[in-house]
Amino acid sequence: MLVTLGRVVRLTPVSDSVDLRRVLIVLPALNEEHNIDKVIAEVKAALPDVGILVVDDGSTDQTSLRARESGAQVARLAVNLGVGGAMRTGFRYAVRNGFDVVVQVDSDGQHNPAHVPELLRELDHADIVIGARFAGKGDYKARGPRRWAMKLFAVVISAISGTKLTDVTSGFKASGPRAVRLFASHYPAEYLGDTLEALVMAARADLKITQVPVEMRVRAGGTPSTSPVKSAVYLLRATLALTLALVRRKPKTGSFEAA
Amino acid sequence: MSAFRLLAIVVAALVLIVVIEMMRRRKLREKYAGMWLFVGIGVVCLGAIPGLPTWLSNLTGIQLAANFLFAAAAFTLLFVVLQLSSEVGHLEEEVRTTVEEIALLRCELEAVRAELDKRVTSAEEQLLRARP
Repeated sequence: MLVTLGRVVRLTPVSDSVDLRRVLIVLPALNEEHNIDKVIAEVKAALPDVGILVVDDGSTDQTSLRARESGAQVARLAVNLGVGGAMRTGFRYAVRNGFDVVVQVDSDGQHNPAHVPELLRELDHADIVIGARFAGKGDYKARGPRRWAMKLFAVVISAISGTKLTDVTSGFKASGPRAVRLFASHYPAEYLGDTLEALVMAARADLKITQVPVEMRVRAGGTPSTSPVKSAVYLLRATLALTLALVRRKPKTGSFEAA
Repeated sequence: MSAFRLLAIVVAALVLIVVIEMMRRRKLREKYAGMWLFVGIGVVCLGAIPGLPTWLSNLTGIQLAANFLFAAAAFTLLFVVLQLSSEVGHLEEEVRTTVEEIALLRCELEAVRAELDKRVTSAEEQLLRARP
């Protein structure tokens, strides 16, 4: 650390209270054999000391092999469980192997690992930090029903959590120790459970949620669904998911510990 | 006793026998068998006791005994389907937990195997070096 003109300048852009060796980057991956090695290389370049766990969500291609070759730990799910299942696996791995912080990064190259330190820095004041797409940085835009839905969810989750959040469906998230412990036993597996319901659950458990603006990149492979029908279906399913999350009772802590 | 009543009793008794036999052969677990036993006994009673359906329909204010039976059957089946849905959800959660657990164990196994390989190799090297 250097002290210049009374101001503390950090040589490394990472928070003092977060030890990088206790940070686990979880990459849920489904058929990403062409991207996974690049993403792992990027994570390693940006954050040399972190643990990297690729959760292969039942891929039918060489995702696991490529990930292992790139030097990541790989947990391969025998059947496809969705992002929720993949992430809970990541949280459990973290708890068992002594990691305090879990950062979820998509393995399709959408999230830039260079933003992870920004997320980690915010963990000093919060339990969950969301890398938000609409908060002024980058040019990510959504249109039509999808956009209204995202706005609506942002308003609802902001009200529950007591913080202003603009992008609650982002998959780019850092979870602090308290959140990791909660999510290792209760991480919703349902549709959009990994975003909306997880946040509702966290807010109910009195965890502090905050966000950091980040840029999103264009997905390296595949095109996002943009047809109006798909957007409408998304809106309906997501609304149902959010309503269910709101009326559900708070999970009893400890009931899944043995599982 | 009319032929129809006889038929009703025979069918109901058959249901009861099948349930008991499935339980005996361990093809039906007791928590579901209980429900089906209850249904079987109910059907036998309704078929065997002549005035029962009419009496029950009068009690509930339904004019036709047949309508009462249909409604009762519909509600019973609704309840059964609901229970099965909840069981399926429970099973899904169990499968999910198991799959996650297997993935983590496999991951751990790989790490342990790699560590073991490394130690065996270094031990072998030491042995070779110790030997003149």
